[in-house]
Amino acid sequence: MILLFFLSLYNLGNDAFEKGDYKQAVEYYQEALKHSENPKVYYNLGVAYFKMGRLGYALKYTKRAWFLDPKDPDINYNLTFIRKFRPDQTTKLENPIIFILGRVCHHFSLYECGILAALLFLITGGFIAGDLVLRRKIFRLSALITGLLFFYFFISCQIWLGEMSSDHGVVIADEAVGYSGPGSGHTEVFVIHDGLEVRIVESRKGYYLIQIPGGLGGWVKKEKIERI
Amino acid sequence: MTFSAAIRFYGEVDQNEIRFGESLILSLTVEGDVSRVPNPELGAIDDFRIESRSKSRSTSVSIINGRMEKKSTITFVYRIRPKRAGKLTIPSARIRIGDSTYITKPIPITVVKDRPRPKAKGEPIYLKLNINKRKVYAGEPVIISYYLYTRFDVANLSLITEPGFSGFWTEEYTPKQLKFKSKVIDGIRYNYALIRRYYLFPIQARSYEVTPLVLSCDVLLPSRSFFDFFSETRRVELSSDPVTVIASPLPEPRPDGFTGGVGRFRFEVSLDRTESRKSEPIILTCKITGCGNVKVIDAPRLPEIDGVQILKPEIKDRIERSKDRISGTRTFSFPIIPKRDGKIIIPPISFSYFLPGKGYQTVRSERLEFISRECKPLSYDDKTGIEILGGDIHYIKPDLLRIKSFHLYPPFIFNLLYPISIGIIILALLYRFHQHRLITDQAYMRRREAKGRFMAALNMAKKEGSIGFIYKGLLDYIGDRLNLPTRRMSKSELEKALLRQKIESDTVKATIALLSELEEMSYGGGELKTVDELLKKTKAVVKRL
Repeated sequence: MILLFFLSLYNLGNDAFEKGDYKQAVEYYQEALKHSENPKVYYNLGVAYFKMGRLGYALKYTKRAWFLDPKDPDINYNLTFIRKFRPDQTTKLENPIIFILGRVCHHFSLYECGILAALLFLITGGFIAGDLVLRRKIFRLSALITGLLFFYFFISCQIWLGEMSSDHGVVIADEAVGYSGPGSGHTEVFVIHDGLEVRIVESRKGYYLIQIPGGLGGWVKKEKIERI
Repeated sequence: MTFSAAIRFYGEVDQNEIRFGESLILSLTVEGDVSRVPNPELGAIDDFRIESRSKSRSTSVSIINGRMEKKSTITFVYRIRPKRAGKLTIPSARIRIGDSTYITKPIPITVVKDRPRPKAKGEPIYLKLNINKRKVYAGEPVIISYYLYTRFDVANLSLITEPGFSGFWTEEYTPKQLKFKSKVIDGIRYNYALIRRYYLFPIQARSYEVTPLVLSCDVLLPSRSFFDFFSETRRVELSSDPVTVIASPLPEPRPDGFTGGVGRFRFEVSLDRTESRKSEPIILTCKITGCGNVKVIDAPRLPEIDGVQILKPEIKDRIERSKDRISGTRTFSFPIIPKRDGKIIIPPISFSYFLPGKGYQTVRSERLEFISRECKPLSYDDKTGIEILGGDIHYIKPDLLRIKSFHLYPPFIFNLLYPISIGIIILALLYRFHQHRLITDQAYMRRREAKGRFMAALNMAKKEGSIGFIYKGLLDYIGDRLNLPTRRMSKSELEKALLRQKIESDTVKATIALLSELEEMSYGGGELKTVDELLKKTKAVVKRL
């Protein structure tokens, strides 16, 4: 029954989107998410927000879709596309090794990585035990291969957990001023814009202490930042 | 000065001391019995500018003692104007008449500067200069107005010399026609009219000299008597006073957005469109409107704008000159070429100007933004040759008929696989350790195998019905458990060894007794017991060990 309700809300959202009523589509998708988490709903929600010109929200929901289904090419494309659209572009050049490692480690979702890492750990344990008991080279070699695979999935899990931690946020206001302290009376340190991904370091008195790409930190009003 | 008594050639001026900006009349006269005279050569008269020249001739005939004498006077009249102030000299002029050359004496002229010409009370006509400020900031406007004051009618006004405004940006206001007004000065009624008004903007901080304005006009003098029907017209030359303006530097520090504006301005920034496709330039217009040195204001400094290329601005000026003020608009149009897709934000632009009396004022524009799409130029896919026109966000996913479940985190049960795997490895390690000890530790091996060998011996005893197997089995079991060479030990040695192993003395005694009994029975002595009984007894003893 719940699933039928979810399906109808999702499809209603699609109807509203196709009529160009993005606001209504967003409402249907948000309602559908209360019944089931699905990458397609997050993806469509991201597209609808993008069409409304709300880059921060578009990025947030597309990224959530990516958490659930990182192999989906549409999700990956839109994520890159929305980031290109941001007013604040990261000028820092990414280390190519870290970039490739990031891509490799994000190939499987956290769900898949978690299951595969556990199974591979068990299999590796079995091969190690087999080698200890039976002293066969084949066990040792198999343990090495499965152990490496386990290591890859384990690292991927850790990277995913880091990505999904609550200290990741995105700017949802057109403009957000970063102050040197939690209050507008402090010195203005920077101005950031809709869609910039930031790290939330601390929360205090209606303000978040955030760190923007490049390392600069400042206190920004909470209503201008949304946790991913 | 003449070389011949018959001919005289001399020069004279109407005044030896004049104010800078005024002109003087130089007359070169040739007297004598001459009929044809060439024009004189004026020499190097570099300090003066010749503004006009004329020639007059008069002839007189006189008869003295019956002798007729003819005398001609030819005068060359020059209006000359000094080019600079100071002690100047009109150099000698020369003229060649026949075979003789006649030379005039040099004439010294003093040209004074900055000394207003004293005006005589009741002077019938004069030029008056009005200046709003003599000390200003660089860029602050100075308004200089020239008024003609006259008691008579004037006509045919012509400007001889414009005032010199070197170093100023100058805007001029000339009334379309002279509008005379009436005013009483020192009891005398004058008519006065604005001739020219200049708005001067000193570009640099320094002292500026404004040289006099000189004009000439016909003055219609009234008839001297009732019966004199013809009024007299006289051409006069009028000169204004020179004036010095001192421009001070603008106060420091100057704000970042200051680009030279002095006055009162409005600042507006706008974009011509809100969307650019295929890197089509967007025009960012910065409009500065107000009263002040509009025309010398530099372009506002634009902040860093990510993802765009900003070209040099096109500048347009619109200056409005009115009687009272100079105002205008300077427009800077910056073509902005997007270099990337997306929302491009133009942060607020600051414009600062200096308002005399109030200091620097800063105005900030609103933040502007536009969308850039299909920024990349037309390109072709190298492999397929397909023309790439642009890109957009991918479309929404289609309607769902069924739901595939997605989970963010793996099921908890999979976490149990980790301790299970570790348990398996530990067990394997223990087994490996056990195997190793079996090989390397004889006592351990004997202890581990003691029970098995003992049970095998008992089974043999049961099968064969031989008590000897029970005796050997028990003896070996004790040896294996305690790693003792029991077969080579006497009973007393065995007893001592068992006691050393801290086995209870009752158990030791029972064991020794059982061994003795089994030994006796195996040799046919002792109380006869069945094998089963002995086996049961032996098991009971072994259990206590």
